[in-house]
Amino acid sequence: MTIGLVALAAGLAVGLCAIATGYAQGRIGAAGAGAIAEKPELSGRIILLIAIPETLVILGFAVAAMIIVLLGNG
Amino acid sequence: MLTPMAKLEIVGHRARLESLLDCLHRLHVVQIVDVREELEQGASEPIPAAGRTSERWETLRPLRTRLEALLDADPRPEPAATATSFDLSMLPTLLADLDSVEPEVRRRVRALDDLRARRATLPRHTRALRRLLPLVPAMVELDRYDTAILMLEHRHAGLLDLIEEELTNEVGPRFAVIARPVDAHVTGALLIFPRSESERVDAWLGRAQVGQVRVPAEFVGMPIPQALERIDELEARLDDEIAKAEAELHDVIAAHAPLWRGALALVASVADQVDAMGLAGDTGHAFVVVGWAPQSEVARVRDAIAESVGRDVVVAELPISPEERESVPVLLSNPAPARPFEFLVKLLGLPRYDTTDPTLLMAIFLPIFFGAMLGDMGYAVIVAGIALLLHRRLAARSPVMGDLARIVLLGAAWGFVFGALFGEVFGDLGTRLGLQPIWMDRQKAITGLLLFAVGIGFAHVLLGLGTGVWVSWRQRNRHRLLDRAGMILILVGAFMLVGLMAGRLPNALLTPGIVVLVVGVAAVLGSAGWMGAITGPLEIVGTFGNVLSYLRIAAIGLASVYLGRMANELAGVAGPLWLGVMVAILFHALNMTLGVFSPTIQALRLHYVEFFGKFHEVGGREFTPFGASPSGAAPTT
Repeated sequence: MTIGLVALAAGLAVGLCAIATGYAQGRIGAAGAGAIAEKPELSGRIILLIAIPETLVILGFAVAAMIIVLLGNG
Repeated sequence: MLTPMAKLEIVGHRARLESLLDCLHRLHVVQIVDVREELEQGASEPIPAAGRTSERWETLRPLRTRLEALLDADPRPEPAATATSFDLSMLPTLLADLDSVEPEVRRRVRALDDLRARRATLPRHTRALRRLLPLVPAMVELDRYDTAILMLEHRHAGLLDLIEEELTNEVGPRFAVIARPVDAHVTGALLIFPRSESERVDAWLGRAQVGQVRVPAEFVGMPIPQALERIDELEARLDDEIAKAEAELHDVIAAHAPLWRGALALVASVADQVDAMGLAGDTGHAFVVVGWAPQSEVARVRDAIAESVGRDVVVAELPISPEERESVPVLLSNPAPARPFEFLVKLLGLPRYDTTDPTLLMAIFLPIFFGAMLGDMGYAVIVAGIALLLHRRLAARSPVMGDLARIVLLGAAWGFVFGALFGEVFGDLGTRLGLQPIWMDRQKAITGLLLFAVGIGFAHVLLGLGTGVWVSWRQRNRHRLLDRAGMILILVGAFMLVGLMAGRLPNALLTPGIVVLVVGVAAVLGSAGWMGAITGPLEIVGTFGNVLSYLRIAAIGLASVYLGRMANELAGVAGPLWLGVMVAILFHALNMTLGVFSPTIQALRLHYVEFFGKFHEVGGREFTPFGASPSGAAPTT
């Protein structure tokens, strides 16, 4: 039971962050694709902008890893 | 690194300007700038447009159109065109050559155009005839009947009833109309009528302005199937004639093209020089040219000018003011292994001259990050093989693809190293076969892997901040220097305190750790004045976020190793051996594709966001030297 809850908590931590990242990247990507179509020289900056929300899911991964490492053995 | 640049001022007698520009054009190492932006107003005047022409230009200008037209007439231009070195002494030979060849080329081009025009009209007839043929009974093969083909857009197909009614009034009921769609937009109609009525029908169609598809004269009166057969024969014959005419025209042009291309290169060079005259200044008797050149080329520029223009032309090196450093043209110069990474730096934007070029640092760390994420000897060997193959096939055609292949190759090499450290070959296949990791098993030592990723992040962000301190020092930017130095102290202090809490560092470091942290926070908060109280905390949190962002190295690596393990597990339960092998290949191929794509993007992001953000300032202007590319023909005058 406990291990199941730990796994669920870790899954939620990374999964919800991934949804948020996907949402943000989708919005930025759509706008970025339009911008690149008009100004291809902006490609580098658009990649940078699209990459920024990824921090969310990485932090989610960090939280999930902490949940598993600290609570998983308990 | 950024090539050190020198600002040159070249002054000489007005009569020497033309030969100076010719010399600079050949050297191809000086970027000429508009003298009005560089010198005090009134010190010199720009050379007026009327004064920029020369005897040489007046002689060469009319040739440009002729040469371009002749070279464009080649129906089979050679991709790797050669050019003869051309100088003005060869002008009489060129003119004689043009006078003798130009009429022949024109005649052949006209003949080729006629053939192509004739060939282009034939499908119009055959398309309509072929569609209408099944509807035409054998009666039209009788000599007593004539035909007219009409083509109408579908939306005007109703006009056929009107035409039929009007024709009935004109010639009586002695004709038939057969209509059928020819394609998605056009309806074809065939009028069949006695030959005796041909004149009246033609006259009426003309008066009513109904357009006919004219069958070529030689097929008039011929039964339709026979006409189609003859048209097919004619098409094949025309194709042969066109191919022959093209080959002959190409041969005529190719025999003279190297000379023409050489002359055209000279014309283009002189045109460049005439344009460059507009950037030079004129004091009445003397000219002034201002430009940028790599520091290492200044001696060569001086020697070349002294030798080919004259020793009385003065080349002076001007000091570069601090305000000017932002706008100095930027030329990246890196060792050969790092050069492919220049493309990735330029993708974000060229660094300003007063900052630094991050290419070398990127060339060191990006492949390491890629390798740490891939971390599998099996995948690394295959990825390296594919990268080598792509490099051999594409590098000559596309330099960008060649650069990318080299970057992936370096990453794959590091992937092999980390694969050995983690003991991974195609996921956990190596472990199943008894391979032991040299350092750690990523699947089991998750805490160690996370610490490794954060450790890389700590070191990389620290390096970025250190570079930021150095750049700020060069720019004499005290606020930013304080900010970057403070952030370094905060990271070091936090590292010491975390080490103490984890029991990995001696307790004696507690006080120094707190002092370093407090001094760092004070420096960051104080770096931006009173605004620092608001932006400082955000910046500190952001920097810790930057360090944690390197956890993606562990996350991507773990995802890859679990996918590889899943491929092996599925292969084991797939049933027959052949099916297991197929499943394993499929999943490993998928994992490997992700294993190349994902680490590339993530390693790039870690550089662009976390690393470059600490020191990189885009906005540099690319150095574009005046003159012909060394790969082109080298015209001489």
